Amino acid sequence: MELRICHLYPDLLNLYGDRGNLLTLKQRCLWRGIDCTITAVSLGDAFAAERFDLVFMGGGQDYEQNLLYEDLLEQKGDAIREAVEADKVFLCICGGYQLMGQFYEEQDGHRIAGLGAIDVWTIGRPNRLIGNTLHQANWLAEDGRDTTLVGFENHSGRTYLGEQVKPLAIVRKGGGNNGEDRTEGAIYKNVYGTYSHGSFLPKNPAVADHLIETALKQRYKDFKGLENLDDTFAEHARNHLINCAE
Amino acid sequence: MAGVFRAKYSLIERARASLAIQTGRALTFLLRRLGRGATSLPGKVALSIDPRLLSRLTAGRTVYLVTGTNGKTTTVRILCAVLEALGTPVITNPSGANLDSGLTTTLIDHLPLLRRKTVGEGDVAIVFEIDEAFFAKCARSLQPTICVVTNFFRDQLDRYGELAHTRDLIARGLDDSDGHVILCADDSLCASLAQGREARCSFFGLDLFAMHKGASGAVTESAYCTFCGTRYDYQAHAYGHLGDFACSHCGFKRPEPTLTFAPVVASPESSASASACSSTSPQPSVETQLLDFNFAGSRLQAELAIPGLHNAYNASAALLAAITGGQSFAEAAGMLEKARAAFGRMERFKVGTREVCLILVKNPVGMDRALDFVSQAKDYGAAMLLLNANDPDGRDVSWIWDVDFERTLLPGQLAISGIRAADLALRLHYAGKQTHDLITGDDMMALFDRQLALCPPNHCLYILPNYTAMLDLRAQLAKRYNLRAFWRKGG
Repeated sequence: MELRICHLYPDLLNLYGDRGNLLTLKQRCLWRGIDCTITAVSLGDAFAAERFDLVFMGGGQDYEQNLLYEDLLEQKGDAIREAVEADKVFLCICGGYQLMGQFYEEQDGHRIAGLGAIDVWTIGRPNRLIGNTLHQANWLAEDGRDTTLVGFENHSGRTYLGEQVKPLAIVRKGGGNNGEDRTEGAIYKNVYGTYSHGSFLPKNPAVADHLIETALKQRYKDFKGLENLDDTFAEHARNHLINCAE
Repeated sequence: MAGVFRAKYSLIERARASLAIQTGRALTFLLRRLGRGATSLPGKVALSIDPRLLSRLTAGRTVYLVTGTNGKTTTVRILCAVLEALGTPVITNPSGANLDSGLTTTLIDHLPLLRRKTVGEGDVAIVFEIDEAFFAKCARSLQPTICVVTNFFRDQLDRYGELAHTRDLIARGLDDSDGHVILCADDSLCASLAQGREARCSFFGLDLFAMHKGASGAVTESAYCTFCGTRYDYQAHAYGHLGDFACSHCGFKRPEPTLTFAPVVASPESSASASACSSTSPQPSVETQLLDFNFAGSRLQAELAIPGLHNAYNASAALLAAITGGQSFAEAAGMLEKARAAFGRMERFKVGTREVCLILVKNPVGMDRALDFVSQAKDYGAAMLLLNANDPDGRDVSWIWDVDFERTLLPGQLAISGIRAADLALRLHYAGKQTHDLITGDDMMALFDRQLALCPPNHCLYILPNYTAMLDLRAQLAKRYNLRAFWRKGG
């Protein structure tokens, strides 16, 4: 068995240890004897969704995000929107999450179009939401997994969800999508967006396994599910953050 | 206040400045009598009496400012050692006291040096380490003679925001002053600061033959041209994004360095004698590297008592600053050996037949350099890693996922402590360390003893802490081993 991961713009979107998410996906496959490939798809490269089971897009600094903007919308936009509608698994963090949405409205009111792959939109604000976070994702209980998400957020954009989009989680601590409606992140079909940076998947192995399982089930119709791993170290790291928050 | 001010001020201005200084001095005296630290409050009060005091005290003097994301403290340390060895008295700020209140306190503390009449040779030099974010404000009031920008690596983004923004802050500071600028040629973001300021910039860099051929292969920051956004081509690389970069679109490329350096590869015999020598030397022990420098067509070798390629970069920055400040190449290079590692940066001491080496790590490139160094150390005995997340460290520890632990996985059982020890253990587990090889605990000293016992005689226990973890550990080690005398000058 094999999980084929596409890493969009790894040389431009690589903020706050986002690569930890890829290390986690890969290692959790390898530990279970599942092969895993990570393919970089960057400026000028064609995005061929059928070659991948899971697509990852992280966040970047403004300068870098501006560099890829045209390439993303003009060259890859159609393929990404098609893949989303065809239930391809996506994980998008912070800037990557915002880019998947309808638009980003800057503080002066100027609107920058997004991919429009999911019905969310973002409004820029002067003050940033920064800090450790704690979220509740009850849908994970359906997998029989831990429903608490821990993370670290650092964003000035406030994101709002359209009707067809569900929140990834409900905020227990932190700002979440916008600091107002207590939602955090988004789920649309198999697209998962979040403001949790860097070590999101390492410290939330439940989400990592859910993504791997969903992706593998799409490719291997008789795939039954993942065996459990020893997540003692992740538990310790999670407990530290949970205890600090409460 | 005779002789304190170099520029001409009116009677009223002088009276005001003098009042500010005297108040600051009185306050320093009082605080010290009370057994309190006096690193910024006296300056703060003095500045409230005379807001222009900082520029009055520095006007007409030789002022070196050192900024950049990595290596500031070590560069300042080396520059001070070189200048002092060549007969120039130096006033420098303790690391951490680098806002205007701290700088003013430092100057008030050294009033006798500022009073000295000498102008020119033998005159006092002011060498300040300046935080990137504060550089713009500070450059305007201090009007530096020479600015050194060490490099731009990703640091604490939760504190300063983006790297390009940090670069722009420093650019603004450079435009508010007209001093000479020393830049790293191999760092595209740093070298880009010369654009439009060519006449007053000079560069230090690693000799091309000492670089690895080709691009690094690893995903690095600043991979795209600062000016036109095209991906850089690399003919060769040093580490991180440092290397021989060129933009095929706009033509921006690594500038020709004024000063180049290259590590001299030691022959097997000479390295054996060096280690024999270090095992008998009194504490704190010293490890050195031999460097080949080339400046304006003349070439010479000099010893640096601080190991690591990144410190060779720091030494080159300091050397070029000293030369630009009027010192001779040969004399300044000859004094590099006088410099010692700063507070917790490659600092070594002996415990019985074993050694302990502290290497401060604050960001991904720092950790990568430290791991590189430790994994190649012939005397590697054991290791301990410490990760805190207090304000000075940055609250966000996600940078540990940007470190290439996979490439240089340290052997044996690793001890891990600090507030965020669990995160670091998790990271190392994903990098391939087995559960039984990761020992975590809250009691730093218990883990220290454990690792020291693991360490064979004549080997070294390497400790890699981030900032506040280093302060904690150092305080405890100093108490236990009575190391204060050796560490007093740290800062």
